[in-house]
Amino acid sequence: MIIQIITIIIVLFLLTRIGAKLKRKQISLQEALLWGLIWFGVGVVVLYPKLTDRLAAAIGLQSAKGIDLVVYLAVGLVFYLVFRLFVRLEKMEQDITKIVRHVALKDKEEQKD
Amino acid sequence: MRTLVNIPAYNEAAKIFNVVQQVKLAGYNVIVIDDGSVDATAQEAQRAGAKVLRHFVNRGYGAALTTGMNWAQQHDYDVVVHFDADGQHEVGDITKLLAPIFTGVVDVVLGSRFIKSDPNDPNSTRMTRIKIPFVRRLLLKAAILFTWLFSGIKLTDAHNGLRAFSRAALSKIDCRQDGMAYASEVIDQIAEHGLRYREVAVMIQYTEYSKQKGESNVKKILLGLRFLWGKFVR
Repeated sequence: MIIQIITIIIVLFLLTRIGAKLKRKQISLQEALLWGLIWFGVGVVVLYPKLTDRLAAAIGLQSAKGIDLVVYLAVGLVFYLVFRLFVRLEKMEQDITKIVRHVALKDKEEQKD
Repeated sequence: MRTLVNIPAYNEAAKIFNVVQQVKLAGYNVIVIDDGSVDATAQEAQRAGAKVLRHFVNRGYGAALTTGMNWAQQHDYDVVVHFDADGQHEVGDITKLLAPIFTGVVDVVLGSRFIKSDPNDPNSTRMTRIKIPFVRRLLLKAAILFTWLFSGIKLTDAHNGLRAFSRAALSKIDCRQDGMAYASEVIDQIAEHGLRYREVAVMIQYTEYSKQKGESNVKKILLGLRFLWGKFVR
C-alpha cells in the first residue's frame, strides 16, 4: 500500500530529525522521548491498523472503527499542545513587557544622573 | 499629597501636546509613557513639560499604565491618576477624582459616564450630556455586566480611562494584562484586595479622532476572552 510506505518514510524521517535535534541539544531528552513515542505510535498504527480496531473494542467504542480512536486521540493531543503553546506565549509576552518596562524605567534614571 | 497624572500614549503626536499642557496648567505632575510610537509623541509630550518614559516596543495600554504606576512608586508619589492621551477626558474632572482619596474615604476612584445624579453628593450631580454611539453604549453595558459577573463589582461604567489610586492601592494592585483588557483586570484587582472604591461622574468627549483611534467593536468583545484567559493563567 502506497499510503503506508509514504507514511512510514515520513515517520522515519521525523524520527531522525528528533534524534538530530537531541544530539544538538535543541530539545531536552524528555521532549525527544515524547515526540519519539508519538511518531513511533503513528508508525505502529500505520503498519498494523487492525491493532486500533482491537483497542477500540477493548475500551468500549462499539460502532467505531479503530481509525476513529486514532483521530480522537490525535485531536485531543493537538488541543493539549495548542494549550501549552498559548501558556508559553503568554509567559513570553509578559517577559517581553518586563524587559521593555525595565529599560524604560532605567533610561529615565540615567538621564537624571 | 504628591499627585502624578499617568498618560499612556501610542502615536498621539497630534493631541498629546494640548492634553499634557492642560493637565500641567491645572498644577499636576505628568508622566507620559510613550508606548513605542512611531511619530513625535515623545517629543511633543516633552515639549509640553511632561516627564517621558519610552517603551522601545509597543506593549499596549495596560503595560504602559503599569510602567507609569511603577515609576510613581519609585518616586514616592501618593496618588496616581490615569488619563487618556487622546483628549477625550476633561482636566477639570481630575479634582473630582482626587477628592475622595484626599479625604481618605476610598483607595480607588473610577470615572463613570453613566452615573446617576445624586442631589446629596456634589460630585455626581452632573449627568453625562454627550451622545454615546448606540453600539458603543451596548458594548459598555455588556462590559458592566461582564465585570459584575466575574469580579463581583457592580459599576455603572466598567471601561472608563479616568481612574485614581491611593498609595495603598498602588502597592496592592498587580496587573499583568498588556492590552485594553487591563481595564477589566484592574477592577478585578480592586475586588481581590478588597480596596475601597467609588465612582464619580466624568465627561467623555466622543470626537471623530477618538472614534478612529479606538479599537473595533469586534476586538472589544474579544477583550473579555483575553481577560478571562489572563485570569486563568495567572
